[in-house]
Amino acid sequence: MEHLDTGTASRVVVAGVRIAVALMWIQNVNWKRPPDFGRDADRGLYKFTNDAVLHPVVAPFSWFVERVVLPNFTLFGYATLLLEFSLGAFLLAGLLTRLWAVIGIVQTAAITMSVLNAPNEWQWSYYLMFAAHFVLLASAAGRVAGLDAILRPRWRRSGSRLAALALKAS
Amino acid sequence: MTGAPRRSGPDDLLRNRGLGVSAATAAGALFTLYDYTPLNFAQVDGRIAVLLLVLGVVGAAGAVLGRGVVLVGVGAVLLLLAFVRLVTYGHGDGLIGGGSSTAALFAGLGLAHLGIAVAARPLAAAERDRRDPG
Repeated sequence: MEHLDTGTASRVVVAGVRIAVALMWIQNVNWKRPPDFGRDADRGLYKFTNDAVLHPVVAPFSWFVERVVLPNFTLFGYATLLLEFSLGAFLLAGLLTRLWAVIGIVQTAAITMSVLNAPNEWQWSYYLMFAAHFVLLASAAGRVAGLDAILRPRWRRSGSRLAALALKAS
Repeated sequence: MTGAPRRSGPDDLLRNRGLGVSAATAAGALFTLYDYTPLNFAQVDGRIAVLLLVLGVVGAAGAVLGRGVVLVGVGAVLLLLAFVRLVTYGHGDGLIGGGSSTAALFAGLGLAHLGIAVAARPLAAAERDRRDPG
């Protein structure tokens, strides 16, 4: 079996993809605006979340959004803000990158199930988001120009339970 | 030319990585130069640009001088600013302006500064122990 290319160009591209995905979350966290997250004007995060009910993609997810998320929308809004803020920050620093890639995949799934059937959406946006996060997960992208690269030797030598978890998450 | 590999120690790590992340911090100020939405990844106005430039220069000086504590300080300031902006977002301009994208940028850069300082510190201690086991 042929091995993947691990030369300089490949490593630069992997680091570039990680930083690009981080910047995507950083730019898009900005329109998740508290305290109402668009509920009063039916726009922003509220509008896109409501699309899961108006234009269902997966019936159980639509039921969950209608019965659980929308009635508790402020809590959900703050959770989304914190999650996407953290995705941007941790992926930018390249810290615990595999863990945050998995979280990014889960968040991409939630977004996809909300808006895939909404008008004027380009479905490949979401397929490409999945692909980019799977690349970060498979390549452990924080090990190139990220904190994972310089902290993993410390964690490996530490032997503590927390360090073992950090090794798995990076 | 000999084939001897060049060893990179904790000082190199602090200097090279520290300079890199400090340069990235200062480069964040460039976001203020244009108002083109598709490339406006983080909200950076004049005040924040000056802040990023100052923190970038201070961090770079710390990296060049091999002072990890300076990187810790810059990282702590960035994380504090990120926290303050995040909790005040949606309630006016806050202390420094910007948005939650600014806060996320601060947090990422702050984590990077702290992580580099942490990674360099125990390596330095380990090397000292090897040189002077007694």
